[in-house]
Amino acid sequence: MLEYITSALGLFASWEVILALVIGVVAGMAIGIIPGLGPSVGIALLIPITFSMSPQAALVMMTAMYTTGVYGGSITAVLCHTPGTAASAATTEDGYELAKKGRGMEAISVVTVASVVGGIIGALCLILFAPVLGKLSLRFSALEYFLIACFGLLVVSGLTGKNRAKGIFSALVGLLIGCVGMDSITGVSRFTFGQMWLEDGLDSTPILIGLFSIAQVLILVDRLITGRGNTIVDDPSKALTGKRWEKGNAKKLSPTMMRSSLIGSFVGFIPAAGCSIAAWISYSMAKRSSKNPEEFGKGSTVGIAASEAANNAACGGALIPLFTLGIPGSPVTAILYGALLMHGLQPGSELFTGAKAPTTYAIFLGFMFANILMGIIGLTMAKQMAKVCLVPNSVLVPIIVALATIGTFALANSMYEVLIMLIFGVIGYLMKIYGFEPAPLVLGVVLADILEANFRRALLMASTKGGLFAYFLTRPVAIVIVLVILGFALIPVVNALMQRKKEKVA
Amino acid sequence: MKKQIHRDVWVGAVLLAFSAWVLVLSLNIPGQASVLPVALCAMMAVCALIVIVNGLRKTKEAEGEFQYAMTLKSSKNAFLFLLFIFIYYLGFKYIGYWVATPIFLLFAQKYLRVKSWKVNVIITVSYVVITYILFVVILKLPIYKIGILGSYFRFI
Repeated sequence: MLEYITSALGLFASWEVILALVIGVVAGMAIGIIPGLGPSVGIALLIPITFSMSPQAALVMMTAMYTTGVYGGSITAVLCHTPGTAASAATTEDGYELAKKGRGMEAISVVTVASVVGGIIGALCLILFAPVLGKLSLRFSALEYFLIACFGLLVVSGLTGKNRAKGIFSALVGLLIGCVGMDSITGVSRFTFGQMWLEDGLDSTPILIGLFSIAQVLILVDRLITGRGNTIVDDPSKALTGKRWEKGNAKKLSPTMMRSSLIGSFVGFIPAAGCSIAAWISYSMAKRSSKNPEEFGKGSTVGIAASEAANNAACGGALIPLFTLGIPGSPVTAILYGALLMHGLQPGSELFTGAKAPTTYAIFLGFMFANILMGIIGLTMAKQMAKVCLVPNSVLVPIIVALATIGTFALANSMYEVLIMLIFGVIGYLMKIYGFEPAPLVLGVVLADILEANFRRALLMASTKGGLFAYFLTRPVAIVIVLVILGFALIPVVNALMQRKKEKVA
Repeated sequence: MKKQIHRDVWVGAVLLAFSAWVLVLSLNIPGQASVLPVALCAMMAVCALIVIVNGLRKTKEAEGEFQYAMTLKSSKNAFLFLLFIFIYYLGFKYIGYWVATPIFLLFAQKYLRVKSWKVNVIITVSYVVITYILFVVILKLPIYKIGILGSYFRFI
């Protein structure tokens, strides 16, 4: 492998590749910031542009846009409560609260550092373990996907807020919304009310933008009109006085960033799981294992680091099944799959051993350097970006609405998506009034399809192998996932027992 | 004095009614496709009942009037702005984005107390120019298909 990496460095060190890297990073950040426009739109746009470029330059530009697009989405999540993509929704929880306290610069810095750490670890997993992990992802079938979705659902318990019953109700409604459309197994229409446009189901992005952005816009309007503040931050005079990086942050955040990066890489390489599930799982894991879980949702830097490290690590993880097996697990990787084929790179073992190996490793190195460059730009621009907190709400609110509208329209070139965004904006605002958390609802929508379709597929597969339990016992990966789920569920119990033991000793 | 009932009781009742409505819809779905929706409705009903019980407990424990951080009554400004957003949506759908958006931006900024018309116009024009370049010139978004005036803003 080392010789391939050496050759890859030679391929990488060309003006064409470096320029492609810089353009990919900057354009990815810009496109990620706009709500609704994620990396998938940007990469699709790059396909015709990169047609005449060398494979390494083209793919470096696209993979750079992938990881930086996810990062860009978190910037608006922190500063405007408007996650650019579903992967950044978890960051909104604490990032926006921290920005409101006038610590926007610190929030951006934590997002940047965690994204870089996550991105680099994801890239290292890609470089070092891609062929091995690729084989492992083949062991995932319906039962394992279902169990991963169950793991994701367990996360809900950490996001329910003060009123658990309301939080769980939100998650159940999310799952129900995920049922809208044609059933993937029987082809029966559910909750479509005779509307053709509902047959494909509801995309999670307009729902997310409605629940987070439009609902928040309405809150800002109310604050503004009633004279309770014309900026996002509570005290504008202190908005940029906060430190970029608190002294103890490195020590405090390192374990969370490392753990979340590994979770992100693992969840990312499972096809269809994706960056958003990775972010939620890591966020919930960090909350459960924290000594101060009450700080989460109120501007916890640990919460930001957890979701950010995971979503960027998941990008690297998602490239593993793509390059090793040709399995695209998300819309972004599906577009990248097309790009690979267009440039004559057929996914499989040939990419790691044959004459094309240096090109493959040059792409992976480019992906890693994209994360580093993203970090440099992000940290340099932290103060400028934090100034968004000082833009008067009277200007910010109409711009967020107009951008959210066109961004949502761009998702499918459809006005129905915009209508869905508006409807969920109203629902999100009503949820705020009556004390419901929007996060479980979003998670429910994201998980619904994976959960139901795979459970039913697993039942069908198990019916020919002596029932579900007997089938489960023949699936080592499923057994490991169940053990992880049990361990995850027991974290608070173990924490409580240890706390009690400490109190007894004291 | 008549004792107030905590609003969670009414909220729970609405959730329960919603669960019942969705359950009726779910029971009409043929075959296996109804299993998950029916199960979800049952769980939603249980959660709604818990919300009601919690609300009743809060009512019992309360000594004075309930103070809520946000209420429907105090949110009329937000709902009025929501109406503006909906009118903007209709303008986008039936007239076109590049006509509806400047009108919305100018009006919304004025409503939200941007005093200077100069600032208002500069922000509106800057937004329209930047987003036109990004979405129409670069991204080739077929937004010209929307609204009766949409085709006038097609970039060739």
